[in-house]
Amino acid sequence: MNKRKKKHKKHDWLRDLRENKAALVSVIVLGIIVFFAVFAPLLTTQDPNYTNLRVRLLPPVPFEGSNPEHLLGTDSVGRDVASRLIYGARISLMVGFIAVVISGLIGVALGLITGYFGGWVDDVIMRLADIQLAFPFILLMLAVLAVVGPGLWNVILVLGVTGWVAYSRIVRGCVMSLREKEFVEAARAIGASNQRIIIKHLIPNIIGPVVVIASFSVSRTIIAEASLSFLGLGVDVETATWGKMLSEGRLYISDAWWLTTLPGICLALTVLCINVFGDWLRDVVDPKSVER
Amino acid sequence: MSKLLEIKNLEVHFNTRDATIYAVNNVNLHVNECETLGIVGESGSGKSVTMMSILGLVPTPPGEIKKGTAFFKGTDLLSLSPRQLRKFQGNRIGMIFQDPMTSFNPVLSIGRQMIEALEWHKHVGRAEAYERAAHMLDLVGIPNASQRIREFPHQFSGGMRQRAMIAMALICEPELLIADEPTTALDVTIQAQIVELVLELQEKLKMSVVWITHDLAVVARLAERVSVMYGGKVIEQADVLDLYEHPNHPYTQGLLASLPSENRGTELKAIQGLPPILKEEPKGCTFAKRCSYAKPECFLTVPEMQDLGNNHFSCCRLGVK
Repeated sequence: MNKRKKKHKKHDWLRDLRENKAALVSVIVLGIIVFFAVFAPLLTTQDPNYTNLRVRLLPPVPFEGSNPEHLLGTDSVGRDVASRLIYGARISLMVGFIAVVISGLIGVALGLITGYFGGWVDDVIMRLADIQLAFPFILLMLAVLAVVGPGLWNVILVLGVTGWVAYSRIVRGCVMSLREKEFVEAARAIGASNQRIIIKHLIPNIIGPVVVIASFSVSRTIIAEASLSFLGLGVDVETATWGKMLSEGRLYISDAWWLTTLPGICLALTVLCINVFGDWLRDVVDPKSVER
Repeated sequence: MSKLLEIKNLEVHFNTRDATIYAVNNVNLHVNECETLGIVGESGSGKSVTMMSILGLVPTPPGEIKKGTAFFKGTDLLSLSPRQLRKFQGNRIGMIFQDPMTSFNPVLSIGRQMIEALEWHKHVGRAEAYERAAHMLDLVGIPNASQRIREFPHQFSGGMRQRAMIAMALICEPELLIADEPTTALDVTIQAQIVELVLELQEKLKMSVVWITHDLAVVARLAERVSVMYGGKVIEQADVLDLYEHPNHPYTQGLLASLPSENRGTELKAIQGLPPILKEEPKGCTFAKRCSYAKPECFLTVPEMQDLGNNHFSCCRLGVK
């Protein structure tokens, strides 16, 4: 019985995806990006960090003066743009997803606690959130990274730890209204403890908004990482990231458009697809929209 | 007949910012085994708070259980820790809420919510729990129960949800069912069905029922004994027929007189005035201000419960007829 139910549900998701063209396209595009990121070493022929000044600033293939060895051209020191983009996808996605998982866990936990219990805990945590919101994001990042030093994991941790406010604000608001609902009282009347009410009754109710914030935060985090790399405080100098490519290409924007345009397109496309996908995901986790 | 639940000298206050509300004052109640007790009273008379406090559902703060005992088969529920009390909630005492629309978690299936108590209290495995839940849904008259159990609350109509709510409250086969105005949100036809359903289930499961309502007609249909509450106190308690035929307390008389009569065109008789806001400890009889028989001493001292014999108690010192 249980198995059949699961199968049934899966089927619905797939059908739903097929009906929603925008979501379908975004899933496919995301799939391609993830595929490239995962299999980067197999899909690139060029070392992303190999410099060759003799082939510097080659344009992408259909344009005059291009070299078929460098499909998407080369940058100012002759590195292959295509392989840098593919390796850059790894960093962007990794930073985006891991940081969002970290901030999501922290934010949802704090939101549940503050929203459900209230009191002085709520006051303290929400004032912390206020302070963090009042502090300019980039400045905070720069300050922290200047202290702990750049590096992939430092960036992920910093982005993760500072991203909790959005979650806890929304979750807290939802929980404050949910805890007054009769079903919470009903749960209490059948002997459920606070912990049980939070896990079994409140968390399923806040998945929708959390999924939406998470999807927007993935894109926001990817952009934040790009901004940090752009400012030179992202992951270490060696590693290719979309943000760093943008910042390096900025100097040649009038001569070599592809150096900024291509990573820009990748970034925009990824962010857009994640947002569309997140929107669809929210509909899927809401039981009311299942049988539309 | 032995007493299943006995509430003694219960006092519940709510400490708000500008005043203390004396919601329940010195309430004494008991429920016999396999009996239905109706608690009637207007909004704010303390009937819900009384029953919720014995289940630990009064939020503290602002609520505060000042004193009193509530013995349920020898255990004082009010002295238990929340953890100990959980063994009673939903297991030996079930509760049905007023609004079937909001009493279910919208994102969990009906079955998922029904089996929660079973898994929790009886340590029943998932598959068996679902089976028992389906059986229970069937018992409360939901057709095609084993399929509908997978559905979500929004796929049920109001009446069905109230039935499911009852099924959920009864799934652990409690000895006491507290129904807090379970039919108020339903239309009259469904209301009648729910009343019949509860009576039928009570017979089958041999449980006691406390039915909280302000609908005297419903109480007449299903209760054996009635407690009338006013201003946070039980002011009259009697067997149902006795109460309807010989109401002793002026408030009960007023309530019964305000029922729509069968002669059309006659004006409804309302009780003059408004129910008290219980911002201070009641000095005299809480009803004195609205009572047409009130004497000076009614405003000064709290009246004692009078035994009128034949299981009939009234809180009016005047003994008016």
